[in-house]
Amino acid sequence: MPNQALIVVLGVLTLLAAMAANYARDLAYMANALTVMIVCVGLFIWRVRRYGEPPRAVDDGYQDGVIRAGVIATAFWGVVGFLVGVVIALQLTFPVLNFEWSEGLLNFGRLRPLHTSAVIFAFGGNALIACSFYIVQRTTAARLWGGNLAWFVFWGYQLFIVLAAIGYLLGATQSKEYAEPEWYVDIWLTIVWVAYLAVFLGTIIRRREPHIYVANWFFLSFIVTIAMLHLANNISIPVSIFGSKSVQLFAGVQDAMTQWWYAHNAVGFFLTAGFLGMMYYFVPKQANRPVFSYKLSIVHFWSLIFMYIWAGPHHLHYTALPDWASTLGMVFSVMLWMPSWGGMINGLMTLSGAWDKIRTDPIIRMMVVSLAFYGMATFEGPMMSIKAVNSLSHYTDWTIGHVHSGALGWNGLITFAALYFLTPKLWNRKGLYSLRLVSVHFWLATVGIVFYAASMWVTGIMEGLLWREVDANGFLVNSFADTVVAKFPMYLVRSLGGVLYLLGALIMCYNLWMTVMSDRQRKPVDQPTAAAVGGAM
Amino acid sequence: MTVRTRKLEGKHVLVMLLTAFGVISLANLALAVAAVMSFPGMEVRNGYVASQYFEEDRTRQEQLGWKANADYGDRQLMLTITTTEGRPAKLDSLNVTIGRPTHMRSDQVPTFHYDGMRYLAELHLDPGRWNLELDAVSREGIRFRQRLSLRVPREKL
Repeated sequence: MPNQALIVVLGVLTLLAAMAANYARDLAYMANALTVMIVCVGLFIWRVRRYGEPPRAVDDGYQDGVIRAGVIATAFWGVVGFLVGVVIALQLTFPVLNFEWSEGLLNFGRLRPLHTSAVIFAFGGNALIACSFYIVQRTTAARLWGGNLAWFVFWGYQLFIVLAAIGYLLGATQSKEYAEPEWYVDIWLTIVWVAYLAVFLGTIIRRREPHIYVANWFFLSFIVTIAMLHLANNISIPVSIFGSKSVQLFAGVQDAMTQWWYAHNAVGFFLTAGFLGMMYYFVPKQANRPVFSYKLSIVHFWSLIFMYIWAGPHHLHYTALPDWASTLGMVFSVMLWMPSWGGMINGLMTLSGAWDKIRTDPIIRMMVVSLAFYGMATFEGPMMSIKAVNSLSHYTDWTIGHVHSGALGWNGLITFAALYFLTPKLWNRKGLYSLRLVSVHFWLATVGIVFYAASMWVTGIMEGLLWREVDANGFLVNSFADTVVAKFPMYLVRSLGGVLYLLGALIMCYNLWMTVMSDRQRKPVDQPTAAAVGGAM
Repeated sequence: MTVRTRKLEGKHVLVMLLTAFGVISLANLALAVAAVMSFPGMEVRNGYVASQYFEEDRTRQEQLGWKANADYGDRQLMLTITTTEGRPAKLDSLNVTIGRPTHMRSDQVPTFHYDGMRYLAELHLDPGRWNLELDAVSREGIRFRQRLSLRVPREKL
């Protein structure tokens, strides 16, 4: 877009945002409109100040600036997300931390979606965007397609995060787990996501390496499926164009089914397929060995994406959902165990013959433990999807433990490993500032997850059994408040696990910061070459 | 001086992974066993299948117009099934299970003798609530099912 036109558009957008803030029917909408207005004003001033400047020389190497930004954003949002997680864990342990003055702003109910979205979409999403941009360029030997479109994706995504977060705190939510943002934030994300797809697909089409490496298949399935899920689950009609409230098109069990079809596939394609794409590049690269079985990676890719899409109904066992649908969900969930473990085994066996690296290289150790937690989460998932087991485990902390062994263990550790891998490469440093600190981070994170998962195992079974305990006359023995009190020690252990995990992430940030800041260790710039990993099939 | 370095090999990693997954399997097995062994509150195995016949069965049963009544006292269970005219209903078969509302440990199947009006059985019930599950078939082959609630009062000291 020519500069003049862009300046006009930004000016008009500023005006429209100001009008929207003026007519706003609720506080969340007004805050969001003001945020948009401030962003537009900022961009407007920036473009005006640069008016008439000659265009910058076009670089035709890899486009790594946006990936550097992505690494910073991932580390930043990670710490924010973990911190909010620790806060809400402590709020559950000590309810007094839901302060009177912060009710309706910083109480558990408002902070909980902030935590889940911050870790999944802000931390995980930025990691996925940055890593997919890095990997697609290296494995196709092509520069990112679309020029500054990649920067639009990056900043557009940050704006989405900020709008959603402000909305949550001020009470704008459509009450769908992992799909809380209201209608206008959803529309904005759709625009950003289409741009993301265009950049990724454009790069693949422009590739100079004929073979499309399997990591890119995982990324592509992640981007396309998330787009489809996002559109289907967010069909809603806004009450007013100047208000944040909207009404879902589906009602009752249809809405619930759409929501859990969405949410389970968000796990399947956002937190699994996308991160497997990262795994399939970074594990072979860091181990300096080819993927164990390229054939297995293809087989488990197709079986994974085929099966995941059917597993959603296991979230709705024993509800108004027809029995056949929940049985279908259960059967596919149990079958999912195999392709999931196919991925784990493929990752682990890539180290075959180089097992000693687990001892000597803390980044490899992180990747291996990450894969082990992936195996754990994908074993527990099928187990919990069995109706009889679900009848006990549902609504208990067992689910929360399961989710966190996947999120902290699998997604967290593989992302940390990726950040440790990327930072020296992207800033042209010889290596990390300190491998010892990576090791410290590894142990803090691992012990933290073990505390978390173990305490949730105990409290999960305990509260499940307490809830269903009945006396001979058929009366429930325990009141709900009794079961909450009984969980206190486990809640304390869980909070401690969270604190350790957060501490590890802070140490990582320090380590990465020092890596970038230590100028002495510069090395020659990475040049585009055909990818080395798994090129031969 | 020699530095002893233990190299990590595949077998070590295998043992580590097997240990980790052993612990995970045990925890999950504990969950599964706890789930299966405790009271699930289940009424029918498949609510969808049951719903396809429920209304029809109920209409046919209600058309019989029968009333069932159960009473317990002096170690004797007394069951009557009467027609709309107040006469004892004529049955093809009668199956009765009496048990606690939420577990099957105390289930008993009483053997009745029919005195022309009432079904009588000798049995001992502890104080508290009992459910009597009645499953009878009329001469015309229509099923008549009822769950009757009994309350056995605490014995006076």
